[in-house]
Amino acid sequence: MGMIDIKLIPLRCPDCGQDIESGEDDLVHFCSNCGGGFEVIQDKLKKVNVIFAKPDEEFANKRLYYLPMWQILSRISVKKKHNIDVSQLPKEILANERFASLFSELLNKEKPIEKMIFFVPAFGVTNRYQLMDQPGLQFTVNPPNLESDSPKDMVGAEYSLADAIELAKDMFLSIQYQTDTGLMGLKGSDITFDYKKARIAGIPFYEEEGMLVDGLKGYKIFKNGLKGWERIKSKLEK
Amino acid sequence: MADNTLAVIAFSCPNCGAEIDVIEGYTNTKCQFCDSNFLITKKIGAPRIFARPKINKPKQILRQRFGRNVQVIDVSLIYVPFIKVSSEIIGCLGGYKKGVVVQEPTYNDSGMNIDTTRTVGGKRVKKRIRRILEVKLDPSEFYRYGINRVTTEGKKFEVYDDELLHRYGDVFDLPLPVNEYLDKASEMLIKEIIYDYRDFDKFEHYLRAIKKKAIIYFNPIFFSRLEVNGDFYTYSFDAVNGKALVKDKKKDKQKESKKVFVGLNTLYGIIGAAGIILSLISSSAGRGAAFVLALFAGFFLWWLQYGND
Repeated sequence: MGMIDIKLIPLRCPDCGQDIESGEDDLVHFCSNCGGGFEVIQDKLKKVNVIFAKPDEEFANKRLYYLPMWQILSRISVKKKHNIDVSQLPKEILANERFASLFSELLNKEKPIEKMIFFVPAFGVTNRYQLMDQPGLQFTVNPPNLESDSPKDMVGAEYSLADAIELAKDMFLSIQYQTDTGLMGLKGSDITFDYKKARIAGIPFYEEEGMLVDGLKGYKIFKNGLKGWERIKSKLEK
Repeated sequence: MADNTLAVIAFSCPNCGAEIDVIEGYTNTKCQFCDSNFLITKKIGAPRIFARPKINKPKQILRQRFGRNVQVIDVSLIYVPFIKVSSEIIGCLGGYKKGVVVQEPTYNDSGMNIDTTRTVGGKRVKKRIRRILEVKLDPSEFYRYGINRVTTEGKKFEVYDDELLHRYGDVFDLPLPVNEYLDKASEMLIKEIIYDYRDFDKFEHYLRAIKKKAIIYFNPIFFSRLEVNGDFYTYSFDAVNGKALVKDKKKDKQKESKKVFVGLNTLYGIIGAAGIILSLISSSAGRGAAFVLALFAGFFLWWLQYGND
Protein backbone atom coordinates (compact mmCIF):
# COMPACT_ATOMS: atom_id res chain seq x y z
CA MET A 1 0.00 0.00 0.00
CA GLY A 2 1.42 3.37 -0.97
CA MET A 3 1.72 6.37 1.28
CA ILE A 4 -1.60 8.21 1.60
CA ASP A 5 -1.36 11.73 2.97
CA ILE A 6 -4.97 12.93 3.08
CA LYS A 7 -7.52 11.32 5.37
CA LEU A 8 -11.14 11.92 6.30
CA ILE A 9 -11.83 11.92 10.03
CA PRO A 10 -15.37 12.16 11.49
CA LEU A 11 -16.39 15.65 12.60
CA ARG A 12 -18.16 15.18 15.93
CA CYS A 13 -18.46 17.43 18.96
CA PRO A 14 -15.81 16.28 21.49
CA ASP A 15 -18.14 17.43 24.31
CA CYS A 16 -21.53 15.92 23.42
CA GLY A 17 -20.75 13.57 20.51
CA GLN A 18 -23.17 15.26 18.10
CA ASP A 19 -22.25 15.32 14.38
CA ILE A 20 -21.12 18.84 13.46
CA GLU A 21 -22.52 20.27 10.25
CA SER A 22 -19.82 22.48 8.80
CA GLY A 23 -18.95 24.66 5.81
CA GLU A 24 -16.30 23.44 3.35
CA ASP A 25 -13.68 25.99 4.41
CA ASP A 26 -14.41 26.25 8.12
CA LEU A 27 -11.52 26.19 10.56
CA VAL A 28 -13.62 26.71 13.68
CA HIS A 29 -16.72 24.54 14.11
CA PHE A 30 -19.73 25.12 16.30
CA CYS A 31 -21.90 22.39 17.76
CA SER A 32 -25.57 23.13 17.19
CA ASN A 33 -26.47 20.90 20.14
CA CYS A 34 -24.33 22.20 23.02
CA GLY A 35 -23.04 25.45 21.46
CA GLY A 36 -19.37 24.46 21.92
CA GLY A 37 -16.75 25.88 19.56
CA PHE A 38 -13.73 23.96 18.31
CA GLU A 39 -10.77 25.17 16.30
CA VAL A 40 -8.88 22.72 14.10
CA ILE A 41 -5.21 22.86 15.04
CA GLN A 42 -2.95 20.24 13.42
CA ASP A 43 -5.93 18.04 12.61
CA LYS A 44 -7.19 18.09 16.21
CA LEU A 45 -10.19 19.92 17.66
CA LYS A 46 -9.23 22.45 20.33
CA LYS A 47 -12.01 24.04 22.41
CA VAL A 48 -12.60 27.79 22.13
CA ASN A 49 -14.85 29.93 24.33
CA VAL A 50 -18.05 31.00 22.61
CA ILE A 51 -20.63 33.58 23.63
CA PHE A 52 -23.89 34.14 21.75
CA ALA A 53 -24.85 37.80 21.98
CA LYS A 54 -28.44 38.66 22.86
CA PRO A 55 -29.92 40.99 20.22
CA ASP A 56 -31.29 44.40 21.06
CA GLU A 57 -34.97 44.14 21.89
CA GLU A 58 -36.05 46.10 18.81
CA PHE A 59 -34.47 43.43 16.55
CA ALA A 60 -35.57 40.39 18.56
CA ASN A 61 -38.65 39.72 16.38
CA LYS A 62 -36.58 39.55 13.16
CA ARG A 63 -35.21 36.37 11.55
CA LEU A 64 -31.67 36.38 12.97
CA TYR A 65 -28.55 34.69 11.62
CA TYR A 66 -25.50 34.35 13.85
CA LEU A 67 -22.09 35.22 12.41
CA PRO A 68 -18.89 34.53 14.37
CA MET A 69 -16.40 37.25 15.30
CA TRP A 70 -13.14 36.80 17.19
CA GLN A 71 -12.95 39.03 20.25
CA ILE A 72 -9.24 39.40 21.03
CA LEU A 73 -7.74 40.98 24.10
CA SER A 74 -4.25 42.19 23.34
CA ARG A 75 -1.62 44.23 25.18
CA ILE A 76 0.05 46.76 22.93
CA SER A 77 3.36 48.36 23.83
CA VAL A 78 5.26 50.97 21.88
CA LYS A 79 8.99 51.32 22.59
CA LYS A 80 9.47 54.95 21.68
CA LYS A 81 7.40 58.09 21.46
CA HIS A 82 5.97 59.00 18.08
CA ASN A 83 4.29 62.18 17.04
CA ILE A 84 1.13 61.02 15.38
CA ASP A 85 -1.45 63.72 14.80
CA VAL A 86 -4.43 61.81 16.16
CA SER A 87 -6.77 64.71 15.31
CA GLN A 88 -6.46 63.62 11.66
CA LEU A 89 -8.18 60.27 12.32
CA PRO A 90 -11.57 59.74 10.67
CA LYS A 91 -14.52 61.40 12.40
CA GLU A 92 -16.19 58.11 13.33
CA ILE A 93 -13.09 57.11 15.31
CA LEU A 94 -12.67 60.52 16.96
CA ALA A 95 -16.37 60.40 17.92
CA ASN A 96 -15.45 57.80 20.51
CA GLU A 97 -13.39 59.75 23.05
CA ARG A 98 -12.23 56.70 24.97
CA PHE A 99 -10.83 55.04 21.85
CA ALA A 100 -9.25 58.25 20.50
CA SER A 101 -7.47 58.95 23.78
CA LEU A 102 -6.26 55.34 23.99
CA PHE A 103 -4.80 55.71 20.53
CA SER A 104 -3.24 59.05 21.35
CA GLU A 105 -1.59 57.67 24.50
CA LEU A 106 -0.21 54.65 22.70
CA LEU A 107 1.44 56.60 19.92
CA ASN A 108 2.42 59.86 21.58
CA LYS A 109 3.67 58.88 25.05
CA GLU A 110 6.96 57.50 26.33
CA LYS A 111 6.91 53.64 26.40
CA PRO A 112 3.16 53.17 26.87
CA ILE A 113 1.44 49.81 27.40
CA GLU A 114 -2.30 49.59 26.89
CA LYS A 115 -4.86 46.82 26.63
CA MET A 116 -7.16 46.81 23.61
CA ILE A 117 -10.04 44.58 22.59
CA PHE A 118 -10.36 43.89 18.88
CA PHE A 119 -13.36 42.46 17.06
CA VAL A 120 -12.32 40.54 13.94
CA PRO A 121 -14.92 38.89 11.68
CA ALA A 122 -14.24 35.15 11.56
CA PHE A 123 -16.76 34.32 8.80
CA GLY A 124 -15.56 33.85 5.21
CA VAL A 125 -15.40 37.02 3.15
CA THR A 126 -15.01 37.86 -0.53
CA ASN A 127 -12.86 40.55 -2.18
CA ARG A 128 -16.00 42.73 -2.03
CA TYR A 129 -15.63 42.85 1.76
CA GLN A 130 -12.91 45.51 1.80
CA LEU A 131 -15.22 47.99 0.08
CA MET A 132 -17.85 47.96 2.77
CA ASP A 133 -18.63 49.33 6.16
CA GLN A 134 -16.59 47.05 8.39
CA PRO A 135 -18.42 45.81 11.46
CA GLY A 136 -15.12 44.54 12.94
CA LEU A 137 -13.62 48.03 13.00
CA GLN A 138 -16.89 49.59 14.16
CA PHE A 139 -17.19 47.14 17.06
CA THR A 140 -13.54 47.70 18.01
CA VAL A 141 -14.08 51.46 18.17
CA ASN A 142 -17.53 51.25 19.82
CA PRO A 143 -17.65 47.87 21.62
CA PRO A 144 -21.16 46.46 22.02
CA ASN A 145 -22.40 45.31 25.38
CA LEU A 146 -22.43 41.54 24.93
CA GLU A 147 -25.17 39.89 26.95
CA SER A 148 -25.00 36.11 26.83
CA ASP A 149 -27.83 34.25 25.13
CA SER A 150 -28.63 30.54 24.72
CA PRO A 151 -26.64 28.58 22.03
CA LYS A 152 -27.78 29.11 18.43
CA ASP A 153 -26.95 27.66 15.03
CA MET A 154 -24.02 29.66 13.77
CA VAL A 155 -22.05 30.02 10.54
CA GLY A 156 -18.65 28.31 10.87
CA ALA A 157 -15.50 30.42 11.13
CA GLU A 158 -12.97 30.45 8.28
CA TYR A 159 -10.32 32.47 10.12
CA SER A 160 -8.16 30.77 12.70
CA LEU A 161 -7.13 32.63 15.84
CA ALA A 162 -3.62 33.10 14.39
CA ASP A 163 -5.08 34.77 11.26
CA ALA A 164 -7.42 36.88 13.40
CA ILE A 165 -4.48 38.18 15.48
CA GLU A 166 -2.77 39.29 12.25
CA LEU A 167 -5.98 41.01 11.14
CA ALA A 168 -6.24 42.77 14.52
CA LYS A 169 -2.67 44.10 14.16
CA ASP A 170 -3.54 45.22 10.67
CA MET A 171 -6.60 47.05 11.96
CA PHE A 172 -4.55 48.94 14.55
CA LEU A 173 -1.81 49.88 12.09
CA SER A 174 -4.18 50.95 9.34
CA ILE A 175 -6.13 53.29 11.66
CA GLN A 176 -3.07 55.38 12.57
CA TYR A 177 -1.58 55.14 9.05
CA GLN A 178 -4.43 57.29 7.78
CA THR A 179 -2.89 60.37 9.44
CA ASP A 180 -0.20 62.43 7.67
CA THR A 181 2.43 61.30 10.18
CA GLY A 182 1.12 57.71 10.40
CA LEU A 183 3.62 54.86 10.73
CA MET A 184 4.07 52.24 8.05
CA GLY A 185 4.11 48.73 9.49
CA LEU A 186 5.65 47.85 12.82
CA LYS A 187 8.67 50.16 12.28
CA GLY A 188 11.36 47.62 13.16
CA SER A 189 9.28 45.86 15.82
CA ASP A 190 8.86 49.13 17.67
CA ILE A 191 5.19 48.19 18.27
CA THR A 192 4.53 44.89 20.06
CA PHE A 193 1.21 43.07 20.12
CA ASP A 194 1.02 40.68 23.01
CA TYR A 195 -2.02 38.44 22.61
CA LYS A 196 -3.68 37.67 25.95
CA LYS A 197 -6.94 35.81 25.38
CA ALA A 198 -9.69 35.38 22.83
CA ARG A 199 -13.16 34.05 22.37
CA ILE A 200 -15.73 33.80 19.61
CA ALA A 201 -18.73 36.10 19.84
CA GLY A 202 -21.81 35.01 17.89
CA ILE A 203 -23.28 38.29 16.59
CA PRO A 204 -26.93 38.28 15.44
CA PHE A 205 -27.61 39.78 11.98
CA TYR A 206 -30.83 40.21 10.01
CA GLU A 207 -31.42 40.78 6.29
CA GLU A 208 -32.46 44.14 4.92
CA GLU A 209 -32.38 45.25 1.27
CA GLY A 210 -29.28 43.39 0.09
CA MET A 211 -27.49 44.00 3.35
CA LEU A 212 -26.97 42.15 6.60
CA VAL A 213 -27.54 44.40 9.59
CA ASP A 214 -26.22 43.53 13.03
CA GLY A 215 -28.77 43.26 15.82
CA LEU A 216 -26.61 45.07 18.40
CA LYS A 217 -25.51 48.38 16.89
CA GLY A 218 -27.08 48.34 13.44
CA TYR A 219 -23.83 48.19 11.39
CA LYS A 220 -24.17 46.81 7.87
CA ILE A 221 -22.42 44.32 5.60
CA PHE A 222 -23.09 43.80 1.88
CA LYS A 223 -24.46 40.28 1.48
CA ASN A 224 -22.00 39.59 -1.36
CA GLY A 225 -19.15 40.56 0.96
CA LEU A 226 -19.83 37.26 2.72
CA LYS A 227 -18.58 34.11 1.04
CA GLY A 228 -21.49 31.93 -0.16
CA TRP A 229 -24.14 33.76 1.84
CA GLU A 230 -27.18 32.22 0.08
CA ARG A 231 -25.84 28.69 0.67
CA ILE A 232 -25.07 29.45 4.32
CA LYS A 233 -28.50 30.99 4.77
CA SER A 234 -30.37 27.98 3.41
CA LYS A 235 -28.29 25.72 5.66
CA LEU A 236 -29.09 27.82 8.74
CA GLU A 237 -32.78 27.88 7.89
CA LYS A 238 -33.07 24.08 7.77
CA MET B 1 -22.33 27.77 -6.94
CA ALA B 2 -19.25 25.63 -7.49
CA ASP B 3 -16.50 27.10 -9.68
CA ASN B 4 -16.14 24.68 -12.64
CA THR B 5 -12.46 25.54 -13.11
CA LEU B 6 -11.67 23.84 -9.82
CA ALA B 7 -10.56 20.22 -9.67
CA VAL B 8 -12.55 17.50 -7.98
CA ILE B 9 -10.90 15.01 -5.61
CA ALA B 10 -12.53 11.63 -5.13
CA PHE B 11 -12.59 10.02 -1.67
CA SER B 12 -14.42 7.03 -0.36
CA CYS B 13 -16.59 7.57 2.73
CA PRO B 14 -14.97 5.94 5.81
CA ASN B 15 -18.46 5.34 7.17
CA CYS B 16 -20.46 3.81 4.28
CA GLY B 17 -17.90 3.44 1.46
CA ALA B 18 -19.76 5.69 -1.01
CA GLU B 19 -17.72 7.98 -3.25
CA ILE B 20 -17.40 11.54 -1.97
CA ASP B 21 -16.35 14.19 -4.49
CA VAL B 22 -14.62 17.13 -2.83
CA ILE B 23 -13.77 20.41 -4.57
CA GLU B 24 -10.05 21.24 -4.29
CA GLY B 25 -9.04 23.35 -1.31
CA TYR B 26 -11.95 22.38 0.94
CA THR B 27 -11.12 21.56 4.54
CA ASN B 28 -14.35 19.70 5.41
CA THR B 29 -16.82 17.52 3.55
CA LYS B 30 -20.05 15.59 3.93
CA CYS B 31 -21.13 12.20 2.59
CA GLN B 32 -24.32 12.65 0.54
CA PHE B 33 -25.35 9.04 1.24
CA CYS B 34 -24.97 8.64 5.01
CA ASP B 35 -24.90 12.38 5.96
CA SER B 36 -21.65 11.99 7.95
CA ASN B 37 -19.44 15.05 8.27
CA PHE B 38 -15.66 14.82 7.97
CA LEU B 39 -12.50 16.85 8.47
CA ILE B 40 -9.99 16.54 5.64
CA THR B 41 -6.55 16.10 7.19
CA LYS B 42 -3.24 16.70 5.45
CA LYS B 43 -0.06 15.00 6.59
CA ILE B 44 2.53 17.23 4.90
CA GLY B 45 0.89 20.64 5.24
CA ALA B 46 -0.59 20.57 1.75
CA PRO B 47 -2.66 17.83 0.11
CA ARG B 48 -1.09 15.96 -2.79
CA ILE B 49 -3.44 14.69 -5.45
CA PHE B 50 -3.01 12.96 -8.80
CA ALA B 51 -5.00 12.28 -11.96
CA ARG B 52 -4.96 8.94 -13.76
CA PRO B 53 -3.90 9.00 -17.42
CA LYS B 54 -6.82 8.52 -19.84
CA ILE B 55 -4.82 8.21 -23.05
CA ASN B 56 -3.57 4.67 -23.59
CA LYS B 57 -2.12 4.95 -27.09
CA PRO B 58 0.11 8.04 -27.20
CA LYS B 59 1.72 7.03 -30.53
CA GLN B 60 -1.70 7.09 -32.18
CA ILE B 61 -2.21 10.68 -30.97
CA LEU B 62 1.22 11.64 -32.31
CA ARG B 63 0.39 10.15 -35.75
CA GLN B 64 -2.92 12.03 -35.80
CA ARG B 65 -1.17 15.30 -35.07
CA PHE B 66 2.03 14.94 -37.13
CA GLY B 67 0.86 12.69 -39.98
CA ARG B 68 1.98 9.26 -41.12
CA ASN B 69 5.57 10.38 -41.77
CA VAL B 70 6.25 10.84 -38.08
CA GLN B 71 9.00 8.69 -36.61
CA VAL B 72 8.50 8.35 -32.84
CA ILE B 73 11.99 8.04 -31.35
CA ASP B 74 10.65 7.57 -27.83
CA VAL B 75 7.61 8.47 -25.72
CA SER B 76 7.31 8.20 -21.94
CA LEU B 77 4.78 9.06 -19.25
CA ILE B 78 6.00 11.40 -16.52
CA TYR B 79 4.26 12.81 -13.44
CA VAL B 80 5.47 16.38 -12.85
CA PRO B 81 4.01 18.33 -9.91
CA PHE B 82 2.66 21.86 -9.85
CA ILE B 83 1.31 23.81 -6.87
CA LYS B 84 -1.66 26.13 -6.60
CA VAL B 85 -1.34 28.55 -3.68
CA SER B 86 -4.11 30.85 -2.51
CA SER B 87 -3.70 33.47 0.15
CA GLU B 88 -5.17 36.65 1.55
CA ILE B 89 -2.86 39.66 1.37
CA ILE B 90 -3.42 42.23 4.08
CA GLY B 91 -1.73 45.46 5.12
CA CYS B 92 -1.18 49.04 4.04
CA LEU B 93 0.59 50.79 1.21
CA GLY B 94 1.20 54.39 0.30
CA GLY B 95 3.15 56.82 -1.79
CA TYR B 96 2.83 59.75 -4.12
CA LYS B 97 1.05 59.28 -7.41
CA LYS B 98 3.13 60.95 -10.09
CA GLY B 99 1.51 63.94 -11.69
CA VAL B 100 1.84 65.10 -15.28
CA VAL B 101 4.17 68.04 -15.88
CA VAL B 102 2.48 70.66 -18.08
CA GLN B 103 3.95 73.84 -19.56
CA GLU B 104 1.93 76.97 -19.05
CA PRO B 105 2.55 80.34 -20.73
CA THR B 106 2.52 83.09 -18.14
CA TYR B 107 3.31 86.77 -18.58
CA ASN B 108 5.35 89.03 -16.36
CA ASP B 109 4.55 92.69 -15.59
CA SER B 110 6.11 93.89 -18.80
CA GLY B 111 3.98 91.47 -20.80
CA MET B 112 6.84 89.08 -21.62
CA ASN B 113 5.98 85.44 -22.08
CA ILE B 114 7.70 83.22 -19.47
CA ASP B 115 7.13 79.49 -19.82
CA THR B 116 6.58 77.84 -16.44
CA THR B 117 5.88 74.22 -15.59
CA ARG B 118 3.27 72.87 -13.21
CA THR B 119 2.59 69.32 -12.01
CA VAL B 120 -1.03 68.30 -12.44
CA GLY B 121 -2.76 65.35 -10.80
CA GLY B 122 -0.02 64.27 -8.35
CA LYS B 123 -1.35 63.31 -4.93
CA ARG B 124 -0.59 61.29 -1.84
CA VAL B 125 -2.21 57.87 -1.71
CA LYS B 126 -2.70 55.73 1.42
CA LYS B 127 -4.54 52.46 1.14
CA ARG B 128 -5.53 49.53 3.28
CA ILE B 129 -5.24 46.27 1.34
CA ARG B 130 -7.18 43.07 1.86
CA ARG B 131 -7.31 40.85 -1.21
CA ILE B 132 -7.68 37.11 -1.85
CA LEU B 133 -5.35 35.95 -4.64
CA GLU B 134 -4.09 32.73 -6.22
CA VAL B 135 -0.91 31.73 -8.04
CA LYS B 136 0.30 28.58 -9.82
CA LEU B 137 3.91 27.47 -9.33
CA ASP B 138 6.03 25.02 -11.30
CA PRO B 139 8.31 23.72 -8.53
CA SER B 140 10.23 21.44 -10.86
CA GLU B 141 11.13 24.32 -13.18
CA PHE B 142 11.03 21.75 -15.99
CA TYR B 143 9.64 24.33 -18.36
CA ARG B 144 10.31 22.10 -21.34
CA TYR B 145 7.38 19.88 -20.25
CA GLY B 146 4.94 22.82 -20.41
CA ILE B 147 3.58 22.36 -16.87
CA ASN B 148 2.35 25.94 -16.81
CA ARG B 149 -0.15 25.03 -19.56
CA VAL B 150 -1.70 22.11 -17.66
CA THR B 151 -5.28 22.83 -16.58
CA THR B 152 -7.34 21.09 -13.89
CA GLU B 153 -10.73 21.84 -15.42
CA GLY B 154 -12.98 18.82 -15.80
CA LYS B 155 -10.45 16.38 -14.34
CA LYS B 156 -11.01 14.06 -11.46
CA PHE B 157 -8.13 13.78 -9.00
CA GLU B 158 -7.45 11.22 -6.30
CA VAL B 159 -5.43 11.22 -3.11
CA TYR B 160 -1.72 10.80 -3.89
CA ASP B 161 -0.57 7.19 -3.81
CA ASP B 162 3.16 6.85 -4.45
CA GLU B 163 3.07 3.17 -5.42
CA LEU B 164 0.21 3.64 -7.87
CA LEU B 165 1.85 6.63 -9.55
CA HIS B 166 5.09 4.73 -10.14
CA ARG B 167 3.09 2.02 -11.88
CA TYR B 168 2.09 4.55 -14.54
CA GLY B 169 5.47 6.20 -15.06
CA ASP B 170 8.29 8.25 -13.61
CA VAL B 171 7.43 10.67 -10.81
CA PHE B 172 9.28 13.90 -10.03
CA ASP B 173 8.92 14.84 -6.39
CA LEU B 174 9.04 18.34 -4.93
CA PRO B 175 12.66 19.45 -4.62
CA LEU B 176 11.90 21.76 -1.63
CA PRO B 177 9.64 21.61 1.47
CA VAL B 178 6.08 22.90 0.95
CA ASN B 179 6.64 25.91 3.25
CA GLU B 180 9.28 27.29 0.91
CA TYR B 181 6.77 27.30 -1.94
CA LEU B 182 4.20 28.98 0.29
CA ASP B 183 6.73 31.74 1.06
CA LYS B 184 7.68 32.07 -2.59
CA ALA B 185 4.01 32.29 -3.61
CA SER B 186 3.31 34.92 -0.92
CA GLU B 187 6.15 37.05 -2.28
CA MET B 188 4.76 36.70 -5.81
CA LEU B 189 1.25 37.71 -4.72
CA ILE B 190 2.56 40.76 -2.83
CA LYS B 191 4.58 41.73 -5.93
CA GLU B 192 1.41 41.38 -8.01
CA ILE B 193 -0.31 43.98 -5.81
CA ILE B 194 2.57 46.45 -5.64
CA TYR B 195 3.09 46.23 -9.42
CA ASP B 196 0.04 48.50 -9.82
CA TYR B 197 1.93 51.20 -7.91
CA ARG B 198 5.26 50.90 -9.77
CA ASP B 199 5.14 54.53 -10.94
CA PHE B 200 4.62 55.94 -7.46
CA ASP B 201 7.22 58.10 -5.75
CA LYS B 202 8.33 57.31 -2.19
CA PHE B 203 6.31 54.09 -2.36
CA GLU B 204 6.18 52.06 0.85
CA HIS B 205 4.21 49.02 1.89
CA TYR B 206 3.64 46.66 4.77
CA LEU B 207 1.87 43.68 3.22
CA ARG B 208 1.62 40.17 4.66
CA ALA B 209 0.03 36.91 3.57
CA ILE B 210 -2.44 35.10 5.81
CA LYS B 211 -4.65 32.04 5.23
CA LYS B 212 -2.04 30.45 3.00
CA LYS B 213 -3.33 27.29 1.34
CA ALA B 214 -1.59 25.04 -1.15
CA ILE B 215 -2.54 21.99 -3.22
CA ILE B 216 0.05 19.88 -5.00
CA TYR B 217 -1.16 18.37 -8.28
CA PHE B 218 0.52 15.47 -10.00
CA ASN B 219 -0.65 15.48 -13.60
CA PRO B 220 0.54 12.82 -16.07
CA ILE B 221 2.31 14.08 -19.19
CA PHE B 222 3.48 12.23 -22.28
CA PHE B 223 6.90 13.47 -23.29
CA SER B 224 8.07 12.40 -26.76
CA ARG B 225 10.95 12.86 -29.20
CA LEU B 226 10.01 12.77 -32.87
CA GLU B 227 11.38 13.04 -36.39
CA VAL B 228 9.09 14.52 -39.03
CA ASN B 229 10.38 14.87 -42.62
CA GLY B 230 13.98 15.08 -41.42
CA ASP B 231 13.23 17.61 -38.66
CA PHE B 232 13.54 16.72 -34.98
CA TYR B 233 11.01 17.74 -32.33
CA THR B 234 10.29 17.31 -28.63
CA TYR B 235 6.56 17.25 -28.00
CA SER B 236 4.64 16.92 -24.75
CA PHE B 237 0.91 16.58 -24.15
CA ASP B 238 -1.46 16.07 -21.24
CA ALA B 239 -2.09 12.35 -20.68
CA VAL B 240 -5.58 13.05 -19.28
CA ASN B 241 -7.19 15.33 -21.87
CA GLY B 242 -4.63 15.21 -24.69
CA LYS B 243 -3.98 18.96 -24.67
CA ALA B 244 -0.71 19.89 -26.43
CA LEU B 245 1.73 21.47 -23.97
CA VAL B 246 5.07 22.04 -25.71
CA LYS B 247 6.23 21.55 -29.32
CA ASP B 248 9.89 22.38 -29.71
CA LYS B 249 11.84 22.01 -32.97
CA LYS B 250 15.41 20.86 -32.46
CA LYS B 251 18.22 22.27 -34.59
CA ASP B 252 19.73 19.67 -36.92
CA LYS B 253 23.38 19.80 -35.83
CA GLN B 254 24.52 17.33 -38.50
CA LYS B 255 23.16 19.53 -41.31
CA GLU B 256 24.65 22.67 -39.83
CA SER B 257 28.12 21.25 -39.42
CA LYS B 258 27.97 19.99 -43.01
CA LYS B 259 27.19 23.50 -44.29
CA VAL B 260 30.18 24.97 -42.45
CA PHE B 261 32.42 22.17 -43.76
CA VAL B 262 31.52 23.05 -47.42
CA GLY B 263 32.08 26.70 -46.68
CA LEU B 264 35.47 26.03 -45.19
CA ASN B 265 36.52 23.96 -48.23
CA THR B 266 35.77 26.89 -50.52
CA LEU B 267 37.71 29.17 -48.27
CA TYR B 268 40.72 26.89 -48.00
CA GLY B 269 40.71 26.87 -51.83
CA ILE B 270 40.82 30.67 -51.94
CA ILE B 271 43.59 30.88 -49.33
CA GLY B 272 45.54 28.24 -51.25
CA ALA B 273 45.13 30.19 -54.51
CA ALA B 274 46.30 33.36 -52.75
CA GLY B 275 49.42 31.52 -51.56
CA ILE B 276 50.22 30.29 -55.04
CA ILE B 277 49.85 33.78 -56.53
CA LEU B 278 52.08 35.14 -53.77
CA SER B 279 54.82 32.60 -54.57
CA LEU B 280 54.65 33.30 -58.34
CA ILE B 281 54.71 37.08 -58.19
CA SER B 282 57.90 38.41 -56.68
CA SER B 283 57.29 42.13 -57.08
CA SER B 284 56.11 44.10 -54.03
CA ALA B 285 52.98 45.17 -55.99
CA GLY B 286 52.10 41.49 -56.50
CA ARG B 287 52.61 40.70 -52.78
CA GLY B 288 50.30 43.60 -51.91
CA ALA B 289 47.56 42.23 -54.19
CA ALA B 290 47.97 38.75 -52.67
CA PHE B 291 47.78 40.24 -49.15
CA VAL B 292 44.48 42.01 -50.01
CA LEU B 293 43.18 38.76 -51.48
CA ALA B 294 44.09 36.90 -48.26
CA LEU B 295 42.31 39.57 -46.17
CA PHE B 296 39.23 39.15 -48.34
CA ALA B 297 39.45 35.39 -47.83
CA GLY B 298 39.60 35.92 -44.04
CA PHE B 299 36.49 38.08 -44.14
CA PHE B 300 34.75 35.47 -46.32
CA LEU B 301 35.57 32.79 -43.75
CA TRP B 302 34.06 34.90 -40.97
CA TRP B 303 30.96 35.61 -43.08
CA LEU B 304 30.41 31.92 -43.85
CA GLN B 305 30.40 31.00 -40.20
CA TYR B 306 28.67 33.94 -38.56
CA GLY B 307 27.25 36.09 -41.36
CA ASN B 308 23.77 34.52 -41.28
CA ASP B 309 23.50 34.93 -37.49
